[in-house]
Amino acid sequence: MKRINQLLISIAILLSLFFVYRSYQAYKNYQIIQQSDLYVHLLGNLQKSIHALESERLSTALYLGYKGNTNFGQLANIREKSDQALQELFSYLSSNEKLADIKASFSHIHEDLRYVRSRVDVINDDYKTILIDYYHTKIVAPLLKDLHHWVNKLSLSVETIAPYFHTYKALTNFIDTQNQEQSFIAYKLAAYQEMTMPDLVIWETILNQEEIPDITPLSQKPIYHLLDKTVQTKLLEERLTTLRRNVLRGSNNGNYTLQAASWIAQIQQNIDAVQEAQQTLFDYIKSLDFKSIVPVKLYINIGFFLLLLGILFWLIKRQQNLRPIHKRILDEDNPDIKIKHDTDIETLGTQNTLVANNETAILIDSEELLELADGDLPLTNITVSPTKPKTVVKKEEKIKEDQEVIQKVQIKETNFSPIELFKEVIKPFIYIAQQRNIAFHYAIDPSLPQVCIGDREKIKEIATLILNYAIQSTSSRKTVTMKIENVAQKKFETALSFRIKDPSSYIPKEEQRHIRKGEKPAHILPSGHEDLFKAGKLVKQVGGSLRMESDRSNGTEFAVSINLKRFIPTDQ
Amino acid sequence: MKRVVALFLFLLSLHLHAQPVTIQAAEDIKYLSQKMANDYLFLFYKPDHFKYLPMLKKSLQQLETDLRTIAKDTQSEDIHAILDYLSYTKDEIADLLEDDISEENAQKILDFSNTLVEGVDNILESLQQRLFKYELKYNLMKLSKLYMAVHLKLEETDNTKALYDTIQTVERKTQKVDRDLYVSWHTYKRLFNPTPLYFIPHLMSIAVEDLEESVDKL
Repeated sequence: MKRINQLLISIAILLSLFFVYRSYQAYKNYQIIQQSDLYVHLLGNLQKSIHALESERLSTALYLGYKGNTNFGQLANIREKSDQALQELFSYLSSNEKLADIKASFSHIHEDLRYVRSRVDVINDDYKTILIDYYHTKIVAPLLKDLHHWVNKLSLSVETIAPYFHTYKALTNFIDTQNQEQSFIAYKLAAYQEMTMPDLVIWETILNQEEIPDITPLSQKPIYHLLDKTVQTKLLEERLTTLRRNVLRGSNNGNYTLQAASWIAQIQQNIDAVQEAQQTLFDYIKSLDFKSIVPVKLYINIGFFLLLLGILFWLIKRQQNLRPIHKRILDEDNPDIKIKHDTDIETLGTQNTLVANNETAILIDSEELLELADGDLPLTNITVSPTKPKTVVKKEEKIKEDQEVIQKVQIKETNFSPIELFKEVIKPFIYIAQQRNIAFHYAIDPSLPQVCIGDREKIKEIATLILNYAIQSTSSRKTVTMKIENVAQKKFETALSFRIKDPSSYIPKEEQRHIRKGEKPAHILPSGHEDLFKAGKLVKQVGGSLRMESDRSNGTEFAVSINLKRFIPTDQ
Repeated sequence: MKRVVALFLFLLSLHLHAQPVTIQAAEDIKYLSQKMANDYLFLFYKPDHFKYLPMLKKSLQQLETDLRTIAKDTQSEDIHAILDYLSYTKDEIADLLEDDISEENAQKILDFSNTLVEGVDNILESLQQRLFKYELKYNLMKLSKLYMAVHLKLEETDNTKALYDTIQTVERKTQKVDRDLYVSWHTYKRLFNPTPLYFIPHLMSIAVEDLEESVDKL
């Protein structure tokens, strides 16, 4: 039971940690949503810069393909536009500290752009380096990557808006691949240049990235019809198939049937259609009131976390309740005894002798006793542990205050050691039990006080009477057990309990009542019951209680509880 | 005697009437077998590409229709026995499409495509007739399939040899039939390069579609 509880506690802790993590994630996402204006504007600026740079790349491809035989002024104008777009982006990034890292990651763009433009100006033949390595990989791709990063962040923040961002990302991807392909093929067509196998591999790489945008995730949203009209996937595919075939047919020798301008115009139809949809969707996203979105995910995670926390506290409390009562009391009141209890488990079963010595106490707790009774080890395997005698000084004044507790009957209160007292009681019965071929197991709680104040003789008589009855009524080969426990201990009082289990006798309820009251019934008593009545009477006299549990199959268990005063030395 | 001759002529006419439909369906099965394997290899190469699975299922439906057509149109027990076997293979392919996309299944579908071709070739041999255009389209699709198989490293040695053999077959067939087609083929021929560095499946696929359309126009 304890282990199952411990396992449940471990599971609850792990699950709590898991939900703490999830709550943290959801909180971070919620923070992004709270600052959605900042990031949505960032997307707008990135999108604008990417479009401007892609236009510049296309014009550059044509300029290079025609070997400079086009109007350079046009290219210069486009360059100015991209510079302007980049400037706007950088000023926006400078406007907020949270965007400083992004600005730093784009710091190389100006330098790369200046370098690549200088190479274009001198009509460098290395189109692959200019168009792919610089314009795409070093300039456009980092901006695109960042755009995707923020699109993903925003889409992860709230599930309901995720389809908008997924579709926006798909449209952006498609535009990017179309632009890449457009500028690369435009260069080849303008130059009437054949495509080598490495050129075809470049083209293939672009095609491999391409995915026809799928707008169906938005099919349940009102904006879907607007987008569906603009993005006709079948038309996009058909247009591309025809164009690509035309280009591929001439790729072997550079005899293209398609002019560069025609290629650009037709591909541009696809780009324009998708760009229109992209802009429509972006405007729609901008119009969404992100701040009013309820962070359901965050609340659910926190809810689960709190629930688990409650369960965890309950399990911990339950775990404490599962510990033996007297152990708990001992832990609270007597730290010295706790240490003894911990050590006795290690030495349990290592000694097999019963030592009647002033310097010893027999240690065993009730749970272990039960375990031993059920298990292989005999109960007589009792650990003997030395205890240090303490020098005691009477605290008479205190005891005098408690004089009212002294029995109204003739009670002779003396100082005595309960451990010694019970050893004295038990000693002759060990011999008697052996004679009668009865197993007699006993355990004395070592936490019993060294010295108590009470009617020693009466307590001794009670224990002797009941134990005698138990031994006498038990048939051979059976086991009588006796447990003497310190069930509760306060500063000036201790509750002594001894339980005697007799496996053979049965005492009817009515008889039990008489015994408890210490009254003799009118009828003739069965053998030995006289002693029990006497014991019952004595228990009453010493202010204790006698309980009995009896049934025909398990016999009878006597439980006597007596409160004793603790002897407190004056130096304490 | 006259009655016997009349009956013989009637049966012969039935036989002659049945042949073109059977042959066409049989040639279609050959082509579809290659197309399905080819599409599956594309799917294996790009598992998240949404267009290939519907295409495969459509091809499978067409294959069923073709099998039914042949079954209805022929009375030959030998052909029916072959059809049983082909139908079983078709079911195997259907099961495979329900399974996860894997290299093992890619290998299996290559084997199934060969099984279907062998079966159909037996039917065509018994009918002693072949349709040139279909045969050419079948070879083009086979070329695409083998190209993918070689680059995806599925029985690379055997398939590389088969790829070169098929290139030769297409070369011979296009040379015979039409000059424009032959020129187109020569433009595209270099794309079927088994060198791993030059793996260009999208462009190869565009080329095959273009060639197929040219064949259809013949």
